[in-house]
Amino acid sequence: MSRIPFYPPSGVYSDSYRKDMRIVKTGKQRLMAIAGLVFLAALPFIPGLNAPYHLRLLIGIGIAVIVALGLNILTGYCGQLNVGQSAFMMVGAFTSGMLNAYWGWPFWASVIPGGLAAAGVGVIFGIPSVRLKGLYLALTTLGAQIILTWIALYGVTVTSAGFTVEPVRLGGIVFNTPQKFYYVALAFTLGMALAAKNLMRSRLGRAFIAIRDNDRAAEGMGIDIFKYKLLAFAICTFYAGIGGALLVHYMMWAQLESFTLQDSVWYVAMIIVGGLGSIEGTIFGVIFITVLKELVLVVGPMAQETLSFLPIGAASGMMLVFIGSVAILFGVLEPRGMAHRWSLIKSFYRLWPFGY
Amino acid sequence: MTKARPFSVAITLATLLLPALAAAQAKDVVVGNISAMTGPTSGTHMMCQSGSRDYLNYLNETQGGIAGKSGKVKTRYLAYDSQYVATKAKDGFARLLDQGMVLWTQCASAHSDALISDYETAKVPLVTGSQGIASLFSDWAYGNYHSGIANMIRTWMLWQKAEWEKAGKPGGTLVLGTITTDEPFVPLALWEIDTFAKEQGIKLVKETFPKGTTDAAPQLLRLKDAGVRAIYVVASASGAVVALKSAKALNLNIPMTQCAAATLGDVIALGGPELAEGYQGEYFYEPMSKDPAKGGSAGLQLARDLWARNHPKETPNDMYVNGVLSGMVIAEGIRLALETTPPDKLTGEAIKKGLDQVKGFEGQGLTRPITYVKDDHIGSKQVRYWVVKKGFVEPVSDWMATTTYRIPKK
Repeated sequence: MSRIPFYPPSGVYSDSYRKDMRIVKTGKQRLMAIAGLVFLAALPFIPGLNAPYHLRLLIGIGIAVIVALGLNILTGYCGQLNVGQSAFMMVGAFTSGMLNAYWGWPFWASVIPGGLAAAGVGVIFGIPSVRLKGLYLALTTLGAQIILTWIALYGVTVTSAGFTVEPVRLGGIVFNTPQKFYYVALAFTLGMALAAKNLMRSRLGRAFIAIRDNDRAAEGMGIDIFKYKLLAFAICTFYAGIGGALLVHYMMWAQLESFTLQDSVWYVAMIIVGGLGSIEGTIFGVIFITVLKELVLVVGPMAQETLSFLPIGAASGMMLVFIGSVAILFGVLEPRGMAHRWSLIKSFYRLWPFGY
Repeated sequence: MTKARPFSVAITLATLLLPALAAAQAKDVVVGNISAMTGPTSGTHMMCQSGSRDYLNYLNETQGGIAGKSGKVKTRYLAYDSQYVATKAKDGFARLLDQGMVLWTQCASAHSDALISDYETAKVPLVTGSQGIASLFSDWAYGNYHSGIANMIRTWMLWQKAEWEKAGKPGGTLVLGTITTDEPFVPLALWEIDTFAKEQGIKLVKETFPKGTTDAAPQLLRLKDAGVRAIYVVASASGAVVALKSAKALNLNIPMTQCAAATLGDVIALGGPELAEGYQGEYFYEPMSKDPAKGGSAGLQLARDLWARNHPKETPNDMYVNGVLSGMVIAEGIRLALETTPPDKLTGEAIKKGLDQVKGFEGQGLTRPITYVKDDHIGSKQVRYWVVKKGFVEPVSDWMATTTYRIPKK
């Protein structure tokens, strides 16, 4: 790797499969990755960027990346639709939160059970995927959103009212401020993103892609469709559960309102805008949608005050029209998502100044 | 070069003098508001927000701000749209904190509990007009009315029991009914209500219909068959309209009362005065739906004037009065803080001390006396029932004490 300092226009020549599958192929890429990590680690200390509000946004982005990554593995890589991701997130959130609040389990002991509980429920709702596809499968996951919300609202007393959750602790450190929790979110986001990237380069990932592209052909090649579809559901919902567990320990509060159908739709929007079947695209999509939503939340009240001649609520509501329009425009102008735009930029950069 | 000199001198002087001028100017107190300005609950939250904003702006414009013995301050009102999502509310809180917020307000019930750790840590008091707040637990939260959403039905049941006893206890057993939608706040509103009913010797029959349905006749017929004397409606305005339409179609003739999740004004606006005729509801303030010809308190008149000035083309809304009342409590808290604290020292802690001294405050007659004491920031703990008559509301009960039940913490 170190022998190739930069990415040549002709591409990187690999003389083995192992080398060809490397994530970081050149010395320059490695340098940029290290620089990026150092920047992310130093961010809470950089004046101007380290305001609690900015760090909270970044933490929100990190958690959303984990949840959206799971969804992209299921939808983008394996081709199975899921419009109930926030409900699975809720399962992980309430499991981890209740283990902590009622049984005193620390975050580190309750986060994996949270993910596993979500995966268990996800597998149950994934069973119809063996016979159902496309919009019909989407309908069953919509059912999951409705059923799980109903259970949380009427079936379990504590989840309908909400409850306090202890912050993350490690030794003597209590991660109860955005400055501290940022590192927990960063570690989980990087770890889960790397795991997803590796998973998709493995035999499992290739099986998912084969199922997505043509499930009958995949079955003909000996891939156990039932097993792999359920595995995709399990991985997807495990990611959602981990995201949910992180969220409640970050908020130090578990509440039903954080896991709505609208959130599930936003997760779908994030992976579509970012690029289906792309880990980098997922991150881009989450950042893009989060920033766009934040603009609405910040600019809406300003518009409300400035355009006071409009009826109450009209100006802030107009911002939703804006966000909807941007989503439509994005779908029309770049249907392959931000990941495709990113690959075009990289190609241009590699070929410059000889690109044509 | 010579021509440029006066200009340079002016710039230098301005640079030197501006900070001094700014320091001499009274410090603005930043009041934050975190509400759902978009989304399904935005109608209620926006009205509440407009009320407090308009009242504080009115004080800035007409009286130059809020004055106490130690000085005078103007308020600066900053809002953040939470879309009724607790995570976003927390982001908004951090943002407003960065912008210098020392006091915050809202009518968003879910946010009150989810943000407890944030506002307690930041030492920023909350003045809430929320009618659906699960329970007021924090020492930093100041309410206008009751100790939590579960008290709405409890207070109504006690009122019904008193009326039933006055009527000579017809039937031997008091049978009451509830009709609810499946909205998220409903389980909180009915929290352990069967135990309460049993304690009071009341038989309570409960029925639910899904939000979005257009007919609640089967549920109402079951309540009628159970012999209920009165029905409590736990729903937002659209659900109430469905229940009322079904009741009218059935000629039910059983008194129905709306919980505070929606105002009678909302139901009149949505369903029309004819449909709402005879419908009852609760208010902890004097509502704007009261017939203007019948007068009102000075506070109500002020709320009406503020509405006319700021929203001349819109239909008056009761929740706006709730917001005005919150604005009044905020102003009173700041005023009391300014009695002992100079404007430049007006922190969240100082304002909390001011709020702790609020005593017998009626908001120019808008509500019953509000007194905050240690461990009790609930508010007036008084409610009054009203009934719709010819498109306006009029009182059907005197002011009465609310119950003080609290949904257990955690």
